[in-house]
Amino acid sequence: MIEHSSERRFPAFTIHKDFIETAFEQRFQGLLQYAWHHRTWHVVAAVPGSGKSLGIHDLVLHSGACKYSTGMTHLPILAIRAPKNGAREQALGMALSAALGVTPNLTWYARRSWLVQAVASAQVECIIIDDAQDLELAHLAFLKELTDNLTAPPYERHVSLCLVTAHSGNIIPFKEVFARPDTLWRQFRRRLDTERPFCVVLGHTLEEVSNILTTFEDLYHSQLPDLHLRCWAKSIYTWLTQPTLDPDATGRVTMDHLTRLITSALHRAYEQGATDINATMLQEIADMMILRRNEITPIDGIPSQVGFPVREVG
Amino acid sequence: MEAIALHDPAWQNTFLHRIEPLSDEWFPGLLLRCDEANHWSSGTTFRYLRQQAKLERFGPRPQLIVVPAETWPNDA
Repeated sequence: MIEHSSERRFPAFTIHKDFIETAFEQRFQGLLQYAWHHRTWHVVAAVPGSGKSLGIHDLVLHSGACKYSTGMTHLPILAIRAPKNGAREQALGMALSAALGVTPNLTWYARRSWLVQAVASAQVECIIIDDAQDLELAHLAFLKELTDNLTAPPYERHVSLCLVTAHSGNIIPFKEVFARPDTLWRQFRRRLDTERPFCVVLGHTLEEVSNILTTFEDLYHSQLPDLHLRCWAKSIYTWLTQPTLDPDATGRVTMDHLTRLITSALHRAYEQGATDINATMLQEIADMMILRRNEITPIDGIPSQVGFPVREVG
Repeated sequence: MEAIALHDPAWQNTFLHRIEPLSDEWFPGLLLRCDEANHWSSGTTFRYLRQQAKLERFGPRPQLIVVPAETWPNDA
């Protein structure tokens, strides 16, 4: 690793990775919790970079899952990412099995029936599939089979199902598939929630951006003691809802864009020895994100000021 | 044994249902109890352990756990 400076005046800038319960997360997790507690089925969509995967991860971590030494296991929420390694139902079966822990080699025939028993015995109440837009039709058919088997005797276990998808424009994944006349899709459609079968969770409004900035102020106060971000809320909101970053013209800000803008600007300010950020720093980062988004940076040569590190051998 | 929460890396390295050895429990009995707790056919835990630990001295078809079918009485 190359050190760019032999003597640093101050410790390196630390980016906080803490989960922030933003307004989006409250809406998103609220819907998942509704599904979990009411055993309902939903297709939940949000634009990429909203924080769907982080929200699922946080919800699952706080769901009370536990493996006891008595043999009892409680896994209220079984959350997986849609398999990318195969269009067949086995790929989904393996992904679901892996979330339960170690499993010995089983034939697909044996694993298929074991999975029903395992999900029932782990007291699963809600199944969440992240990146569900990658699910194939065979996967959906297997999900229906699995949940049907859980509902039937001897388990008689109703589980909720949330297919969490990324979307763009006005196209909601699965809406057209479930509207097809085939029996399987009609059965699938019938299982979806009556009031909210297809949901789009929206990003942040100006006011919500302002609240998140307050949280960022607290998080980075130790590194930038005079930090005031909230006063830039309107400018930040305007930049991050430009057509380049908000192509669907939702008028909402994603957490990914907001975090990138703020952490890059804070990093720059910190490296310059500043204790707060200014309009120039924010504007430069915003320009990079909006105007120079697809710019290609040539990487060539060897940094002239830095020699190769020399270490004594022996 | 402590309970394992989902954020613990051990979650991914343990069977769905964990069992604790009983005092003076016969080892094959422990393995069979693990099979039962995890809804597997008998001998599955042993085969898994043998495969993972490469216990070659048991031979290719060990009959340590399950009574071989050929030793059953004809009317069994």
